[in-house]
Amino acid sequence: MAVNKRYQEQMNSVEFSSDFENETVNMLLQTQRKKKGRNINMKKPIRIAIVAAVISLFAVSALALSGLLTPSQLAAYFKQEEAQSAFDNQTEENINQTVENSGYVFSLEGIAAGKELEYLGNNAVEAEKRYVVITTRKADSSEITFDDSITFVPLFEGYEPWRVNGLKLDGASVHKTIRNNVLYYLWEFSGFEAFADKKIYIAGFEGIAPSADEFIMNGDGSIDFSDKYEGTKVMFEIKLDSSKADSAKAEELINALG
Amino acid sequence: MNSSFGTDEYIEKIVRTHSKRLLSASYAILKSVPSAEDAVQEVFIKLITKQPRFNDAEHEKAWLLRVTVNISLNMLKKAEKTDLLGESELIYIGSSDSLLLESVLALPVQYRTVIHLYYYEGYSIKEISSILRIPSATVGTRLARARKILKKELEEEGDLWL
Repeated sequence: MAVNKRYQEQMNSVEFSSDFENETVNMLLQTQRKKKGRNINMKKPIRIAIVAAVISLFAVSALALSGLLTPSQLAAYFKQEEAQSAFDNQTEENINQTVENSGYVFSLEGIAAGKELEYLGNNAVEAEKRYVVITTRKADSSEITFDDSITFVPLFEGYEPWRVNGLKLDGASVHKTIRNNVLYYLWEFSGFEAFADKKIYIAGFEGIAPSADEFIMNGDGSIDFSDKYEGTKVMFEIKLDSSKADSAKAEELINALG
Repeated sequence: MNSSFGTDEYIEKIVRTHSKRLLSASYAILKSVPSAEDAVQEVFIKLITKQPRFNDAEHEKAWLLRVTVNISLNMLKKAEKTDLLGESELIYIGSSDSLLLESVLALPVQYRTVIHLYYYEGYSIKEISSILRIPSATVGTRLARARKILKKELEEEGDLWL
């Protein structure tokens, strides 16, 4: 029997409470009636005007001061040895920036370059990686959950975000966890060392892939959020060692996007 | 789609239509029947209090699954902190022929979540990416690693991954 059928069959054999549906319907009907009784109309929350602002730049790691996980500790927690090693060895590239937006405080806690073996069939190739650690907490210190997650993506000066971005260049992956009411992201991106001579943005937004609904590219090549985008937004700017730029490789990567 | 939202008929219909799939998704994460039932009731409460707008039935289903996954992950995180899920609660399986399910439940939570959405719900990598709000590449990697672990596990038990 095919795996999906076997799995479905075995999962369907799990016995949940026989009266779960009836109990749930009754509970929801009661909730609904109470709500109507109080004449409460659920309204969409008024979206607070979004003004993203870089509020602080720290010389010393905020994580180190707060006792929260450092980028290296976070990588170790996710058992990402290459990322851990990269953060341990490249402290000079860690950048601490904090942005407050839509009731959240986002901190860029660390960026480090590393290499990982990737397997293509029977061949292993060493691929360049860029690890990024970002934390999110609620500005009012209320509970944060995975529902508060957004997507982060590297964008490059001079390239339209929907055409060229760090999620498209050889892929990306993310690990998330919540510790002490802080949502941690460890993002792993590939291939953007080649763009090291450009201004590089790490943008956070509510969506899956960057589009013209969220971003614009200005005449000078700089990237901004579109005025019509109303979701949570955060934009960090980073500078890499421009000597690592490789225009031929950048061209190759862009051509591969089709 | 939402014309009858919040009516008794809507509530009855949404619970009858989606309970089983949401309970299964939550169970795949929490590995506990009582906890999965608590999580799914929380999902339905969120639905009637938030009153999200849906384009169609697929959109509604995907929203319910995403909220179920998020609520279950949050419960798991709290349970890990407070040790609420006792060992005796961890596995509850009705059938004795459950090696595949047991192997899936033994996977790390991020792997078993994508395996469940892929094999139980039949979603594509792109659709799972959209539901979980993570890149497709992450879904693909997790799926490949999970399959590799399951294949090894099942073969060691004399079973086959087909």
